[in-house]
Amino acid sequence: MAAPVTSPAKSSDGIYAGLGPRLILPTWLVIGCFLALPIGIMLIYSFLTKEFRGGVVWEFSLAAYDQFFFNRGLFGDEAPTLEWTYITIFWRSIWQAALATLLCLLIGFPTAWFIATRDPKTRSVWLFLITIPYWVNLLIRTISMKFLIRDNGPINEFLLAWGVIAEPIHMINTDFAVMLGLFYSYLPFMVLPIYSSVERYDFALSEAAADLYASRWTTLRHVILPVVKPGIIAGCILVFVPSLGAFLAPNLLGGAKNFMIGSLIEEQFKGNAGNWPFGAAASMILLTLVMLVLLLYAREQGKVGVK
Amino acid sequence: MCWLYNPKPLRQYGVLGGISVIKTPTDLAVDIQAATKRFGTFVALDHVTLGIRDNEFFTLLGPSGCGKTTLLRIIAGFEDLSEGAVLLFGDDISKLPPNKQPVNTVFQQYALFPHMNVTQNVMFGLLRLGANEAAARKRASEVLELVQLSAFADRMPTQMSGGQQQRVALARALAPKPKVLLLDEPLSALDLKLRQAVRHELQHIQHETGITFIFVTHDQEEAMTMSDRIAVMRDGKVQQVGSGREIYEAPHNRFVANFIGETNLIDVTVNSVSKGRASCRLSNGKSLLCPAAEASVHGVGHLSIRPERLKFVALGKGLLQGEVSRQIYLGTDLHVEVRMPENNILKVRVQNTDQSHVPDVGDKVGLNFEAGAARLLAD
Amino acid sequence: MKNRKIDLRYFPGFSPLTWLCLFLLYAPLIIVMVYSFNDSTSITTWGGLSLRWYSEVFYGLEAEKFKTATLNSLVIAVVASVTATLIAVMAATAMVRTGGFRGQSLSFALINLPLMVPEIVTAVATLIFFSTIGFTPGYLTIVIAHIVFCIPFAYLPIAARMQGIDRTYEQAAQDLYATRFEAFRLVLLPLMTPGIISGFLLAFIISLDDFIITNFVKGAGVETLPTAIYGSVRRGIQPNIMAISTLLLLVSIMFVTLSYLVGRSGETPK
Repeated sequence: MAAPVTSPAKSSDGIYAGLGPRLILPTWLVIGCFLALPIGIMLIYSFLTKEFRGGVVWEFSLAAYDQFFFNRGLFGDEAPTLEWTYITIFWRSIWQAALATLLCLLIGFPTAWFIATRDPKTRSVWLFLITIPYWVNLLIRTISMKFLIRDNGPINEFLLAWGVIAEPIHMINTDFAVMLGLFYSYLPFMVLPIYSSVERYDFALSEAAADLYASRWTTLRHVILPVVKPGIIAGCILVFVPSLGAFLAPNLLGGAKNFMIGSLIEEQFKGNAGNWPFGAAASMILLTLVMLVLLLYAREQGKVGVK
Repeated sequence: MCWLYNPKPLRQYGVLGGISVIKTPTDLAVDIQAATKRFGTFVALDHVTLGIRDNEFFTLLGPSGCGKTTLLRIIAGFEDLSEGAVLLFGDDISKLPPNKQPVNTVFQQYALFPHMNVTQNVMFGLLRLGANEAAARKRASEVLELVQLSAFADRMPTQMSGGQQQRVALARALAPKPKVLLLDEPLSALDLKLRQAVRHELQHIQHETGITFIFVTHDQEEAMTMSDRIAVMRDGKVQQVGSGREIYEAPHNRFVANFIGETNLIDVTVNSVSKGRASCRLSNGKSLLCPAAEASVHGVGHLSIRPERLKFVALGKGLLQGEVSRQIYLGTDLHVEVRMPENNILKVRVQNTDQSHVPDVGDKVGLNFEAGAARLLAD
Repeated sequence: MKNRKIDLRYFPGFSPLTWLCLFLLYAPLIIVMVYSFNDSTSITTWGGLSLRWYSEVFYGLEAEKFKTATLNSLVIAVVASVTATLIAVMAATAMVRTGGFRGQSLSFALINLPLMVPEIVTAVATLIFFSTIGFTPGYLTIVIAHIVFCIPFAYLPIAARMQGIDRTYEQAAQDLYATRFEAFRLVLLPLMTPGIISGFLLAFIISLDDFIITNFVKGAGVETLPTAIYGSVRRGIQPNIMAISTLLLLVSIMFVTLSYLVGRSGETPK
């Protein structure tokens, strides 16, 4: 719909027409200057040479990316072989994030369904209850999870005292702990989009399926899930992406053996052992991965059309 | 006795092409000259020309999408014209923003500011015009008195019923003493009994204040009850302008005839037309003279006869013959449907009194009407 | 209550899973709260109810450090959230009420950028940026970084609320001779207040809670509450950490509840 060009103040679309650029300027200044620009600089950094004590020398070099992918031996003079260390770390992070997403989905979907099928008054209470934990400091949540599953933490104590187990279950510093931590951090992000989709679901469809002899699980698989799919996908993305770059869960719950991307990157910027270009390179790779996922998602949305 | 009606000629203004504006005599409150409004490729108003007089209760009537609300918004200043001009007492207002025109609007959903009470709402316009607080308050209580809401001066809009909110909206628009008041279907949200009461009040207020009212509605009964003159619109064009009586008795074309009340359309062949009279021949061969709308032409045409003007006569005696196919009892009258030889249905309305003799279903009857009751339409 | 057999909304197992979910979400937090009242020095054994760790927080060895850190957090949060809210109000007006301008979709992407970039990447990029232009890490760097990621959080409730306000109110104001600015000030702004407050509270909490980005850009001198807690935890979880965590937990919940209630209270009936 074309707004009339003559007098902007009369456009039926908005009475402040014409002021747009001026009003959005501060946003551009702040976010453009202090986020978009820094990302650009980070990209440049990934192509620079590292300095001994952290920081960089302004010399172009592919050393950072090289170090990520290739192993040239201890002194850098051997023929390059594929360096698996960092790729493994990335791969493990993707895997962990995927598992955490799956766990969130398995628990989150029934939860979202349950809440969406309560009556309206109860519904908002449930939603509120589910979202509150998210607003508690992530650090504190992760700490409390750590406290809970330690070898001599309350869970193990409880199980030992009741004789259910003979020895404490070793949960901390394992992949499982990290996955649990990620699940705990981002569960509301899975529940809320699915809840939105289910709320809009027309139960007449279920009735039609039942009328045509489908059991409830068949209905779930063939009717409900396809209709609710957009919410599920949104939820998965909202859990997967932050899990990928997570730092606190692997760091506090995973211990030294469970290095993930977040910890890897963090290490590069600590004091003298740091390798800034490498850290920047790893960050760029992470960012690219995330942007790819988001772009794919946006394209899928575009294809389906705006609802 | 032949034909009794000669509709008064309407004032005509030449089409302008948007180049220069003709200064009009100042008894016209709002002079709309060839107003055209396009939204992309959609033409909402198509060279609309209207003259609205001072102190008049003028109604824009038409189905949804006919452009009446668009026209109102253009007068109010919320939309631009693509072509043409709108003059307010001689001044071109089509390019002015809404806050610079002495025209106020009563919105369809009232748009009362929810965070201000009734008095604050009513004072709003006056304060923006620079009145001091005391003077604004005094004027506000005057206007609230006029709409009989003085007791609600401190209430919040959300604490009031629909009818009361509507009166607040009216008071708010009247307070700054506008030259023209625009009302955008303000009664559509009210229930029937309330609507009837409010119609009466609005007319009363218009007479009291002498302000020109421009009223938009799709309800023809509303238009007929309240207006001095009505403009019937369709698809962005004005079909006819006139008083309620003129439009009902002398519709210009099929759309107006059908939109206002009910009518019967009869195919005829037009032999000649001159000076508002026409000679037509019915399909059964009989000829008659009747009043004709302007712009009616030779050849194929339609006669419009209102159902209440048709009378039952003995078979063979009337201008038309047919067979009664249906009777509908409506309380105040009886609605009788007569099937004609050409297979179309004519509707006859008979008042429900003791003396009326109504033929039964299946009877063959003749139909007659006064010569002035049928009218040749322009299309 | 509908017979379960015919209730199409019922799936066996969903209800217990939901309760499990709720339990999983709250158990760690509740345990922390409970243990913060534990009387023994060891965090593993239960010694009885006591407030000693709370008094330790306020008067004990590390009290000064945590007090300074808390003060820092509060000051930074106030400055960042106020600034972010102001910017967000302007941005929301631009996006929702101006009927489109060049670069509008790009602006929308920009507003959401901080939400899409993983926190660690933002942290790294910001650190590198300040290092490049020679800004020494400290208060200013923290505040600037916080403003950046607070903007989208303030923006969301404000824009949502603005969308929900009928344009007719502003048109009515203009019809009654208000200038555009008067219409904004006297009509739009009052009606938007719940959304603005909601956005402000959200931004405040987000800033208060931030750890990763703050940790990267703070330099050696400044500590905020989360970074101080983290530093302490690296050396093992002490009971006073429990107490602080509980306090912070309760504050967060209080703020979010406030934000939610304020957002709801302003619903104007149409």
